[in-house]
Amino acid sequence: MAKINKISAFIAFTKALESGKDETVKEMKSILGDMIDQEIRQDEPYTEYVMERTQKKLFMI
Amino acid sequence: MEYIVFILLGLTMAGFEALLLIRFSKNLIANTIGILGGIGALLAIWDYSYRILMIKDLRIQTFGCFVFSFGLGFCILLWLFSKIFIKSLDDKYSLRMSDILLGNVKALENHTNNRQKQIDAELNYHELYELKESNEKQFEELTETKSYLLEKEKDMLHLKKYLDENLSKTVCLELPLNYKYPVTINYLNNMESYIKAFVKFDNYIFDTTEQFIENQNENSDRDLQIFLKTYLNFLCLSTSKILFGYHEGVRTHVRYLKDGYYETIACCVGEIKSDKDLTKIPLKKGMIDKSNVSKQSLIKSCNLEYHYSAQNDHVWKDYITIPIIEIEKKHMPLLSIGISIKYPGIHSDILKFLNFIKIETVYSKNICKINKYYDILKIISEGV
Repeated sequence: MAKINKISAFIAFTKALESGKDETVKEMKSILGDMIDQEIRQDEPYTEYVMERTQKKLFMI
Repeated sequence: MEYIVFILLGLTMAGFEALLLIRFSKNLIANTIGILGGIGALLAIWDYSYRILMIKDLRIQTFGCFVFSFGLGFCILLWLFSKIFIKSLDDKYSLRMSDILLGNVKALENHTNNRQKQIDAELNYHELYELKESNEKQFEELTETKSYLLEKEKDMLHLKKYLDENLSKTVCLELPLNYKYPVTINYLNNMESYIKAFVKFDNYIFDTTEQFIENQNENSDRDLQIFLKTYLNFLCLSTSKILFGYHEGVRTHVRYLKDGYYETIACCVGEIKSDKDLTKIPLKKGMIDKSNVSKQSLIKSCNLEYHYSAQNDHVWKDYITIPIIEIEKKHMPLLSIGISIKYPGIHSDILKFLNFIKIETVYSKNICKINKYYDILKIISEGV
């Protein structure tokens, strides 16, 4: 998803919240959740790298 | 002349004897002694007077005058005194001076009893007495409870000592403020997933914050209030999704300072709904104030003494309060983030992990980045 579309989707979500349309909010949450999943999956290699470092740091405590 | 003297003597003695009888003493022996003494005194006085006056021929006549005047005077005076004094006994409450002077025991006792009844009625003695009995009973119960609690306190102190000794031998997370959270096998097994989620979260928030700023710069005509609310909703939603997998037992919310209270501005409960009915937290009370003072996030279950009772405490069993201390209003953080959990059995470990790893730094650095471009205090002051 393009950057602009992502932020626009969040803005649409806020407007849905303001309007009190529960069904729309629920649907948008699902869409945004899938979008987040997809994006963080792309960062897996970086996550693995940082995690390894963090874990080392934690076990040193 | 001699007759008159004896008549007067008889009348005088009759007066004394009548007064003696009118005392109404309950003591029979005292009454008998008094009467006999009176008769003895009567005869002694007659005999003494007779000798002083040296009357030789009128012994029987003078004695007759003395006895007659005494008998008649005694009867008349006794009747008269009875009319005067005994009548007064009908009066329930008044006590006359004569009763005191004459030692009218019955009148005094009667008066005392009646006054006692009157005062009892006015003070509601019976109710007071019952109240006293009830208070004494309660006092006894409280004393028993106190001794029971003291025993329990003693036991708890022993238990605390035992736990402290064992905790010192266990690996613990040092959480603010001075709380030791023992690391369990379950915690260690889950730590990998916690770290993974945290790194993803940190990275995702960082990237998206940049995108938010870029997007707003490109759309400068967009309402800043909508922009801020959207960003805060994004924080709640991302926290809920990345760290807790949209679990319905987790609520992420942001509160802002308005008119002395922290009110909800954004909230996310799992995937289902967005709860807006959060308790308003008064300024300088509860965990927000304490976390602001200590400049770090705090968990309720580790700092129970600072918890401000909320209307949904029975639902949300534990929470972490994360103050954004960099943006202030009246020396208090303008924004405060909270993550509440319904099921401590499931989410307690990750909550402690987030506290330990200082999740506040992730929120603070990103919100401060937004604040650098768009004055959050100003946006909120203009109304959200």
